[in-house]
Amino acid sequence: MREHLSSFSLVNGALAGADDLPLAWRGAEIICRGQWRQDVARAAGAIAALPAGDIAVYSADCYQCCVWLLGAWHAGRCVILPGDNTPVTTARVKALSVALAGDFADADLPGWQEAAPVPLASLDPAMRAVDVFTSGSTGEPGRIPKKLAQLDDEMRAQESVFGQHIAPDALVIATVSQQHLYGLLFRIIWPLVSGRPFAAQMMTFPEELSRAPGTAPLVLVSSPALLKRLPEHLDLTAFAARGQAVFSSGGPLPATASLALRERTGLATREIFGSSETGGIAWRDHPEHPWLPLPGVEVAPTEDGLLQLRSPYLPDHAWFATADRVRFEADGRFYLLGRADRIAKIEEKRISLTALEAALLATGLVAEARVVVLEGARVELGAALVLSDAGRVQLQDSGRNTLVQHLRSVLAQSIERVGLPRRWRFIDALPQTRMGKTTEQDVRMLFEKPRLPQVAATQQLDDATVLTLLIDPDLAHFEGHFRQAAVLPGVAQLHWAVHFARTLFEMPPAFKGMDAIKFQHVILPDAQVTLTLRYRADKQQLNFSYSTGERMHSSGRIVFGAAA
Amino acid sequence: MDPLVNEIKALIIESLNLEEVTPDDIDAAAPLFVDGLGLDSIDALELGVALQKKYGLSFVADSEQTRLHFASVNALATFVGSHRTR
Repeated sequence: MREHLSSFSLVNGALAGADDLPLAWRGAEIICRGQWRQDVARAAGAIAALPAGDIAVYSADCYQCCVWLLGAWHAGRCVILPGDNTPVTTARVKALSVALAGDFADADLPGWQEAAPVPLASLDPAMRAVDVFTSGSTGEPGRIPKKLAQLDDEMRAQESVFGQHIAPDALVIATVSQQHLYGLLFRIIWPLVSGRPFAAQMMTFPEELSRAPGTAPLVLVSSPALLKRLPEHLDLTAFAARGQAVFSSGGPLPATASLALRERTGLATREIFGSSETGGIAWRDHPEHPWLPLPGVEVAPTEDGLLQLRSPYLPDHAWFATADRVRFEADGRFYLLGRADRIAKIEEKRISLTALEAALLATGLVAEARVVVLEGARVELGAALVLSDAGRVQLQDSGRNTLVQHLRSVLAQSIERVGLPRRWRFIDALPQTRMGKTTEQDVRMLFEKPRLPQVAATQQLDDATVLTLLIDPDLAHFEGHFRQAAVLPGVAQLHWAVHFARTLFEMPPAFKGMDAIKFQHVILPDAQVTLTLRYRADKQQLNFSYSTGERMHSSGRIVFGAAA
Repeated sequence: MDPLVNEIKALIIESLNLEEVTPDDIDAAAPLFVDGLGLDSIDALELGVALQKKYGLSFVADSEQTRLHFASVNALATFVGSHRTR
């Protein structure tokens, strides 16, 4: 089959591949290329009857999307491929196209299967094949046209690098949507140009990895959203037995997730770095290694330390500067150092913070808005808002949760849900430096959870100070734990003892050691505990104990000394 | 009331780390996703993982069934009640 690879060129459209060659698995049903060719010919017939113009396609089913794509191409039309089907997006693509095909509220072409099939001919490699969208830093989604040859060249280049280690009949399964460029390239274009079948349905839950249809080897097209959430208790042996490759793209995969997957499956996750504008730029097989450019891609730093590239997968051969800060190795590989603009990556979705702020201001409920990226257990957005008079009235009348829900639902009209702020602060004024500037850092501080307990009472005894502490469940130390399982970590108890002792006693600056540390009973959220502190200046020694009544939680000695 | 309903509300709040939401704020009959509580696809993934871990059940995505199970807290409680293995 491999020697016929050229026949799989995208230029041959739906003519490529034998009738009985499997193209897609939909559940346990196999759809072969012969069936697909007939579907494409009918879809092309339905599209050809429309007035001149582009076709917007959105489908949860990758096979159906593939039929619309090829149908449009064989009818000489370009496909507008939105990332979502929210009302605002639907209205936007409706204005750009002559028909909405697939899962839209008001989809056209419902009777396409009855349309008269048109004869299929090979396609023009220079044709505008798809327009994909991405968040620009101004907030307006950018529309990125891709020629057929760009898609074809890129995935044939990827196949030349990665394909040799993957069986020709391997099934491509995915946890990402084909409505974005990465999913389009890896779930549809790559299978089309390599002759491999793909799964029509996207996997949503980790346990589905073990339930891929058939018995063929598997290629997983995934992203950090799923790979970093693979539960430890999940049995991956069935996947490991069939898996031949794992691809991840859309954002950096945490090293821990990548290494854990390697240990559990023996597979190195191949990360692809790229963007909708540029297509693929570079790849790596190890989360701590620098990125290696893909074949044909030239990379260099700009004067400002940003990554720029020239690539056959770009519309022309000019240098294209990205907003990614970069550090180069001598051998031409590079490390990424984060973005230089106000675009946040939330679960692989590019979210324009500027656009979010503009949308918040447009509600009329908000006078000033700052949205910041918060990196906790999950990377999420926090919105710090100064409400307008109308907003304050609404907060007073309907309460915080209702207001938050209202703002989120307004934002959801134009922004994908995973990109909506999950943390909200309503404040009287944005924090400002003395120069009148509002810094990211100061806004982020508004969302910090308290790291110290509240002191309810302080009592001075002869040789000791006794503090009554309220253990608020909102303390940062409990974050990421289930409430039933949350206990105050020992290290926090030590830290607090030293912190409060320093406010009470003159102690030397350096920590020299500790002994007789005992943790006897755990401290739970909502507890009220007594912290007893005794400082012996002659020995430069702090004695501490946490207790509730007669019950001792912990105790120990900490020794201090002059700085080394 | 079904004690599972409250248990699942608590699991949602804890596993998704929802801000300033109490079990009483969640309408057990209201949709969890999009309208109502307004959860997103990552929330579905995280909640699915938490439910699997706690009750030993599993979901098959993209089936109309899963969408129905996730329709509301009440629907989840019914599903958990009949499919739990622990």
